[in-house]
Amino acid sequence: MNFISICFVSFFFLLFFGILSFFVGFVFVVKDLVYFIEWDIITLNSSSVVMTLLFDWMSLFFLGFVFFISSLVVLYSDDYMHGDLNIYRFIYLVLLFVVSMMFLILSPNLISILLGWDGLGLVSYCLVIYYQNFKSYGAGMLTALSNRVGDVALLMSIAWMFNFGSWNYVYYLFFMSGSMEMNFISFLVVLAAMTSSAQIPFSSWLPAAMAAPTPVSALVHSSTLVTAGVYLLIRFSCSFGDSLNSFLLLVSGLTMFMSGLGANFEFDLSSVIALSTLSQLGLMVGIVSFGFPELAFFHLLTHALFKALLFMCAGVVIHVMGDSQDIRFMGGVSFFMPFTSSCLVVSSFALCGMPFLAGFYSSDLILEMVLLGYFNFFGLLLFFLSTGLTVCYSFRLFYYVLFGDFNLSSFCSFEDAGNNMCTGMLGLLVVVIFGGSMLSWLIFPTPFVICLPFYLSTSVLLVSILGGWLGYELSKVDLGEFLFSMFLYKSSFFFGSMWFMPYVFVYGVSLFPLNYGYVIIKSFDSGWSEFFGGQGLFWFFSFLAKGNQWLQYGSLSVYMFFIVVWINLLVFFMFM
Amino acid sequence: MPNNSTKILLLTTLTSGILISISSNSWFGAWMGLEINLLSFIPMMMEKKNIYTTEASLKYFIVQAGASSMLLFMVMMSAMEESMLINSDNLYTQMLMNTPLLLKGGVAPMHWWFPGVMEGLNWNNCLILMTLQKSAPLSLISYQINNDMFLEMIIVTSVMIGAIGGLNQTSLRKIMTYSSINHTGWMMSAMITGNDMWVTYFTIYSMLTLTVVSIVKTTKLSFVNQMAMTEKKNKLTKFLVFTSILSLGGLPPFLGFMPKWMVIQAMMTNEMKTTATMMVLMSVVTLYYYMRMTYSSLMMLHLETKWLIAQPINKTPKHIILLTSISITGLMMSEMIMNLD
Repeated sequence: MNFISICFVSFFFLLFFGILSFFVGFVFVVKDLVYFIEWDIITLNSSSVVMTLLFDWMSLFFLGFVFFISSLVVLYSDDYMHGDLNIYRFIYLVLLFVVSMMFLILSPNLISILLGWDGLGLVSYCLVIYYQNFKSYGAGMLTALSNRVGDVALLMSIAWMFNFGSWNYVYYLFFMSGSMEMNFISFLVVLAAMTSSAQIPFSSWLPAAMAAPTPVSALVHSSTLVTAGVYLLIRFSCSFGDSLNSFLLLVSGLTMFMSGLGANFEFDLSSVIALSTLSQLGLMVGIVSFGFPELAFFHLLTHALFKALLFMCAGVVIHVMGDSQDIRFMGGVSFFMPFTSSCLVVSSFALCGMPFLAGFYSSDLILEMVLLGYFNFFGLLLFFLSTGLTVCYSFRLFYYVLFGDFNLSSFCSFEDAGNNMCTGMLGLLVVVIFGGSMLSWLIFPTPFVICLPFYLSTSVLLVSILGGWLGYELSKVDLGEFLFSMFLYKSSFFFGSMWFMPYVFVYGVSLFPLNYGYVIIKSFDSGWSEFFGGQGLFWFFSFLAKGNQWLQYGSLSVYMFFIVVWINLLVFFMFM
Repeated sequence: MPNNSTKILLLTTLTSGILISISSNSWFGAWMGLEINLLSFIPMMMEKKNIYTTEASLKYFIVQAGASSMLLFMVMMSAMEESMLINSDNLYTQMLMNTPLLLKGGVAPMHWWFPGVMEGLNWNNCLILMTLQKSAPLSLISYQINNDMFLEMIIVTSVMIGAIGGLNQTSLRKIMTYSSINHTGWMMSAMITGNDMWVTYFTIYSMLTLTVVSIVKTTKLSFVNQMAMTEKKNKLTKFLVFTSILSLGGLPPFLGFMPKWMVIQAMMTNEMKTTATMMVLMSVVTLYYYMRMTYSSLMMLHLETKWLIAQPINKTPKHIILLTSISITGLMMSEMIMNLD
């Protein structure tokens, strides 16, 4: 163990700052403090350029989680990326990622948010293409371009904020809500958040971004990139109008349902977890649009914990599987890797909302608030089906990965690999178990009052148990068993490929511009503008130059003769 | 074949001929200066005794003597005829007086002797022919110039011929010739717009030509393809050639852009927009062949082998470095000096 390796140094620094911002956050949440720090960079005539930092319990807690999780991820990647030649580049990229996230979290100003946002986009691109192959390049480009849509939306909202005279949105959100400018701004911010949080038209990049190394996925899916959009929504939520809220609710509910269903058809371990992240993101965005941003933030924090742990466990499994991610090759992992498997189970149970684990406090609260509020049946159905589906794919994952026979090659070495990986997972395991209750006591000093009849309050439990049973039963196959998904091939293909979203919103969108670009380049760039431009002009001037050369071949006396004729003509005309 | 002292004598008489011509009070004195100038340049052209120099000096002599006799004829006629006073409104008088001078200066429709003569000379004489020998006729033109259709046509023709004629040349002398014709067109328009602006143009043009000619003389280049081959060894020379040629072409950060800038601005204020557009467009074509001269040596045949690095390569004469650095930084320096107030 090399204590001055870059991973360890970064680990200690990040852990220190994480714990620091945790404790400051404790003080802030208990005393209900908000600090603004303004740094006057330059003042020209009447316009001042100010960098503003916003410290309240929300930003401090989030920052603490980002630092804490990234510290453990960095520690984890010391083993996971062991022997990688470019480990320095990797760690620097992760640190840049954390810095960009810090900018985004701490700023109450759209310009500095854009700074962090662009940093996230750029660094996420660099991280996705870290393994340099064509699949990674494609995935990275998809990620970057999807997030660029959000960039454009943020830029446009910056332009719209000119109407208010400042980009410090926190001052205007409440007072200007309902004005036309604020409606535009909030719509654009919602658009940006939808790209970053991979809501429905922009969902296809999230599973594609699994091309990044697994520690990065643990970071991206838990606390950084995808939650940036949710964080933005939480900050902006008091300016949303009714129509925007219902639009967002529909989109997020559909995202949740789509990804929960899709995860049940997926055979790639990382992609299953990615789709589960998408489902949870839908839950968060849904509860923001339902009017409970604090709940969404609470779920964001707990989700960050168990999703990071889940990804770390998946990373270990993939690591020892020899980089095979297909869950059909796994099986019986719990016999070889008891610690990793128990971490996997704990985090998955937390994801499902198993009582008294981290996810229970937030997701159960969210679902009961949904039941308590007025809600149409469709929305309710989406929320509850997705909860059931979450348990369903979790148990399916258990079945494939943890139990049964081992399905890879017969010559394999399996263990709870890596001291640092296990340490990182252990650190997260503790907070996954205790974090939910602790956070709920801190954030909600007076608990929410939930008053529901018995059949409604047990419906969450019922749906979850039903989902778990279904997930186990449906994936249990034997040799020679009849495969229902082959019988329903078309619908399972539809649900398993994210409702054709990668085709429709990637190929569908890029088809026309690509074809048109081909036409343009064929008929203009290498067609007419070449004919009249480059080659044509060259031909024309060469032609003229040939003419000039032909004139130069003539005898000197002929030209002298012309001169004399010219002079004579002039004299003639002069005396005429 | 003149020896060194003869050369000194001839250079002195050549210069004094120019000075007599441009500072004389009468047309007759101007004619006399031109004759002295011509007669002292002809022996200088015979650097080596071979058919090329003979042909070149003979051609030059015939053309210049013819032009001089025409000029003398016009001068005598103007002395005889009251109506043929200089600066009269008669368009034909202008044309008659200007034609022999234009022929002497090698301005475009009367330029046909120029490439042939240049081809037979060595680089020193080429330099004199492109710069010094033009100064006397051009000053004489500038004394009696008017902004009329004839001169505008002369300008456009010389700019076009200078641009297009150089396009498919492989000889560096020919390229320099056509570039000189092109620049003469610019000088004529400088003459039309302002009295002494053409002197600035001429000075800067002479300096840039001096730079290019000194480089190609030192490296003994005559053709475009030799530029690619002989400059393999010396990166500095390559760079110097490239920058000085681009400067000659008038690319903005370099000194060569400054006179063109002045001319364009003056033409804009004098409402000569069509001519100015024509000239700018044609200078793009000149830039094309300037760039093609150095492109292959700089971009395609760039070769750096280890045994060439080990050699002491820095044999570039100091005056070339000095001249090139002036042509690189001249625009900025002159702007700074002009803005000092």
